[in-house]
Amino acid sequence: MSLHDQLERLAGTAPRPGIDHAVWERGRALRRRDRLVTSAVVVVMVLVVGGLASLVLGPPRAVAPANETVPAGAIPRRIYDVPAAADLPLETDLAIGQGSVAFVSSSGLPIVVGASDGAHHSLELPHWGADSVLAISPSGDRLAWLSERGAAGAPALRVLTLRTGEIGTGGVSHDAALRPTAVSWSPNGNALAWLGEQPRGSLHGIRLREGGPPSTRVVSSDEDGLVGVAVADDGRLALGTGSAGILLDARKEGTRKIAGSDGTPASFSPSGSVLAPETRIPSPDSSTLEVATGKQWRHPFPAGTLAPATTLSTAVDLIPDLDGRSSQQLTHDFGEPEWLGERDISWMIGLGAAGVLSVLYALRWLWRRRTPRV
Amino acid sequence: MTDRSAFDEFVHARSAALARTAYLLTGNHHTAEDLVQHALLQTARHGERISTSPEAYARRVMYHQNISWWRKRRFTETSLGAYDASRPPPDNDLRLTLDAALAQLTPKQRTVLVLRFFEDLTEVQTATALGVSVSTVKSTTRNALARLRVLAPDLADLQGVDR
Repeated sequence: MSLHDQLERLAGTAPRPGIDHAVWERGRALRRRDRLVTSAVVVVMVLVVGGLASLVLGPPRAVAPANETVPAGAIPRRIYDVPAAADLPLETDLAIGQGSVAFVSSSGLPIVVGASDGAHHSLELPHWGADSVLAISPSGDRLAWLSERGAAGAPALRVLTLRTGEIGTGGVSHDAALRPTAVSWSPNGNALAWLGEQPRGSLHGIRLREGGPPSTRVVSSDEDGLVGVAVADDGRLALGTGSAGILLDARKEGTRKIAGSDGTPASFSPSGSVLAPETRIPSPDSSTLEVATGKQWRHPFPAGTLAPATTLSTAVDLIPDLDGRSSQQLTHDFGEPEWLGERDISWMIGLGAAGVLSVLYALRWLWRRRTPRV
Repeated sequence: MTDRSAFDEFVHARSAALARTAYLLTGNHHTAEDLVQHALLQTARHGERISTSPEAYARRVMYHQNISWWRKRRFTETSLGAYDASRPPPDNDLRLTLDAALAQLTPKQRTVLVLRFFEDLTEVQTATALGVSVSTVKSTTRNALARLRVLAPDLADLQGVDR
């Protein structure tokens, strides 16, 4: 008897197997899962390869090295909002040094960006309220804010010296009911104008520092519904009336209204001959207004320049003098803040791990595909 | 094979033959049944890839899966008593002797023997089915038969062993 016959005899003792009737459905379900996984792997591979290609072949970023400090100070290339969930501690030591940008975050906190390191500081300003407004001086040394209620319960204008942490206070009204509207510095920082709303109309004033201690002058306005204020070095005021235009030389006799000019006044040029209105999102451009003639020029922004934000002011003295070259860097890339970077790093790690797993799975799949078909 | 009726017909017609081969490969009824179930599942899963015979595909899955299972189990299972076990009586008990001797072979040796002497595949066909070289098939067959003669001397006189 041959080995074949003996094996046949042995195999004949095998019972007929009980086949699971769901084996077809299970097999087809596995097939569908295979297709889904394969499609996902292909998509991830394309993304990973595309990302690597863009990293390798993409144009180098023509910016200064990130995360450096700039001793003389600089305007940051990107300004980051600080959402309520951000892990940014509230600072009680207000001596943070020169600032470059000040704004109210989407969560209502006063934020000042350091001029030399680009760090975002969330400051615990005294009597800061939900309606408070702020502005940083052109030099970046002082921060002014107007609060609805101060220490005595009345509205108060405060000025913080960022290098020392000292706070100066000036009353703005004997009436406790004042809703802050705007604060604005003159180009040389010697004059500070403010604007608020009272039940009887608008109230504005100027705080001057002309050789001695600052003095505050309160001026009632005949106009209602004023929306913005700017002050020149010589004390001239520009007030915004919304859609009705801008009031120029509002402090002096012969107030002039430029009808048809949109926006609200924000800043004068050092000479006082040009006025820059505020840019209101989603406006695609900014504008400047020639004071003498009332002519207005529009300056379009590149796409994606602005994101939704509240009021923001910059220390314009930190912008370098123009050298006439288009490659001149007017701002500095300080890199992403740490409280943003942690989230992004985890995202990149996750994507990297997914990419590696996908590559390994694809190799396994290719290896299995290489086996000859029966 | 992409439709249910053809698959059911294939299972009904060939599952018994697959089970016989699976039993020779594993030496255990329960494992053989699991092996057949696995082969049929893979056949249903990869129906589009099967360009010729689904049975050939299922058999190929069984050959490879049996070795794969053994590789997973060999570090946990130990069997040392067979060498000292008493030999069963000859002739009528020859099936038991062959069964016990096959159990002492490695799954690779066992698989090669089943393909060569039960499925009647040539060395080239066996090498193709297992994805190994012809020389590997030759050496594995030689070693398996030599071990079989040591483990079960009664099988040494079987016809066709040396072909």
